[in-house]
Amino acid sequence: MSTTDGPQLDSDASQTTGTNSLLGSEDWWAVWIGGGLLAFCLASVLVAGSADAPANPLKSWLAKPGSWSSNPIDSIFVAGESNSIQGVVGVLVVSSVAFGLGSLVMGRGFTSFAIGFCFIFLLATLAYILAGQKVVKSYNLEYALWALAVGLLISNTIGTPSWAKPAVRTEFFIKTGLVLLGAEVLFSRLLTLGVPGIFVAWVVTPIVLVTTFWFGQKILGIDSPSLNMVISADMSVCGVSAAIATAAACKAKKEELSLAIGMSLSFTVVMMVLMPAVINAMGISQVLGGAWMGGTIDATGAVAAAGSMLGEEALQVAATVKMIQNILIGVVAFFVAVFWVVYIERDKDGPKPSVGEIWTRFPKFILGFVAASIVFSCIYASVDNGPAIVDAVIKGSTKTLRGWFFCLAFVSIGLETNFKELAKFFKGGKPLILYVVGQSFNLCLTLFMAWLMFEKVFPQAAASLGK
Amino acid sequence: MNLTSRERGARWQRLSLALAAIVVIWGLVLPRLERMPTVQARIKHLNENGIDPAALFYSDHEGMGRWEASIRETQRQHPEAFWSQLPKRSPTE
Repeated sequence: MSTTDGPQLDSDASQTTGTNSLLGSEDWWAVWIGGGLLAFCLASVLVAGSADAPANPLKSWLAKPGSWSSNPIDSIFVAGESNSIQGVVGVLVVSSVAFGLGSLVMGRGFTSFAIGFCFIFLLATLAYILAGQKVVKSYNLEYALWALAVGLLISNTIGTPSWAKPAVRTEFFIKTGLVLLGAEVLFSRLLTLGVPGIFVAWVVTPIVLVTTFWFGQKILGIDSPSLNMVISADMSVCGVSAAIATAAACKAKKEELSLAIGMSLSFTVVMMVLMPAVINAMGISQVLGGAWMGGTIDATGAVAAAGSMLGEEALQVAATVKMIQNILIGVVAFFVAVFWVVYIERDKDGPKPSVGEIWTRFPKFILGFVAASIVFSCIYASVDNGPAIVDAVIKGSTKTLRGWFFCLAFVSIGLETNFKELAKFFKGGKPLILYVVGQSFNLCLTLFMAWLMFEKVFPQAAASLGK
Repeated sequence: MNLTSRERGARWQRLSLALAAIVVIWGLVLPRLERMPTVQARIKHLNENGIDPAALFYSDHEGMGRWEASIRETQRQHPEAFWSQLPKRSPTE
């Protein structure tokens, strides 16, 4: 059990006590909102576009601020070129109505939620604008970091206004965003790099994850298993997205998620610059180097940026290995949720939990996440023109909404976090040691596996990719 | 929490200072950094290749479809190389 006090990323237990209703729980509301949005976006694509060329009619109604150089207004409005004001307002309307309705049915007022939500949305817009500056963007400083910083800035100076607090719903935003993310977890992509890709991304990653978690618990003696798990998943799978998914699955504290993401982004910036130089110095081929970086650099964006510094082949292999790792987060989130309910949360002296108890404690939004993944994987693989339909749904709408929901969640985390509370999680430097040891093991094992696969067992795969 | 007007003033002062720092960094420092040839070259390279360095998930990269298609095409041309090809040993080995 976690020994450090603090709000958890699962506040549902208290809400559902006694009701256990499909309408009274935040987990289920995340499934209804996320599933409803996915269904609506899919229906819009199917109705509005032709079978040969699917188009998403919602695209102009859902947008986020773009990139800019010297004038931040360019991120939402460039005269005669682009205008994302309509799309940003569209997201505000859709999300405030969806989350507001959920809050209303769960017994909280709609009006108080809507007033606070406008404030949080404004802060999220500011975070997107800060992240959109081209220099900031080019060095992998993701919006999650700025959203967290903006929230922390308010809570640690003037304090979070009491009228905004009803809309500070971190878990609600994260869980709904994860259900939407499920549509992007497409299992057919697992096979893109054949056997070598599966071994580098799907064999090494779970070994590193489990070993790092074990090391943190048994050797370092980290008090909080959830902090240990979030750092392990963030470092071994795919950075921020994996941290969000596992934090929600193991009900980690908000500060634990913030800490894991802060550490991961700091190391990612260093690895993104150093790894291409090290690979060049070692004389490693582009294919092997790309696979090594794809399997080890945490952030998906940084992997492609680092891969491109070696060349086109390294970029393709690195990005594809990371894509296959991205697909793993659905499986990781599911098993972490099961492991937590069955082993971590149970009374050590009591009997094994019954199936009913496991079901009661299981975070239900994971089911929505997995269901979205299965449904969209089936559409992608078995429907005529499936890839184009899924692409139109994701790129035209759900990806934008997912990004906003995560951004709102990180602003909310910042608004609920005090710098002093964050500092105590660093006690003894154990999280840092865990990350460094885990990442070192990851670097060694991934290099070995990539070498074994691309140089020894499947050398012709590397040769054909290198042509 | 009951705060004196002095404490409230200090809090607003801290926020104003932080906001001023943001305005200076994002409004002056970063745009100047962007004009450096090495930074410009980096941004141009990333844009041309469809790379979003701040991507959270693979689907955030504009270029992902192209990279994946290229690898799938290679695999289509050499399926055995990715699924069953072990290095061929000569009879003398």
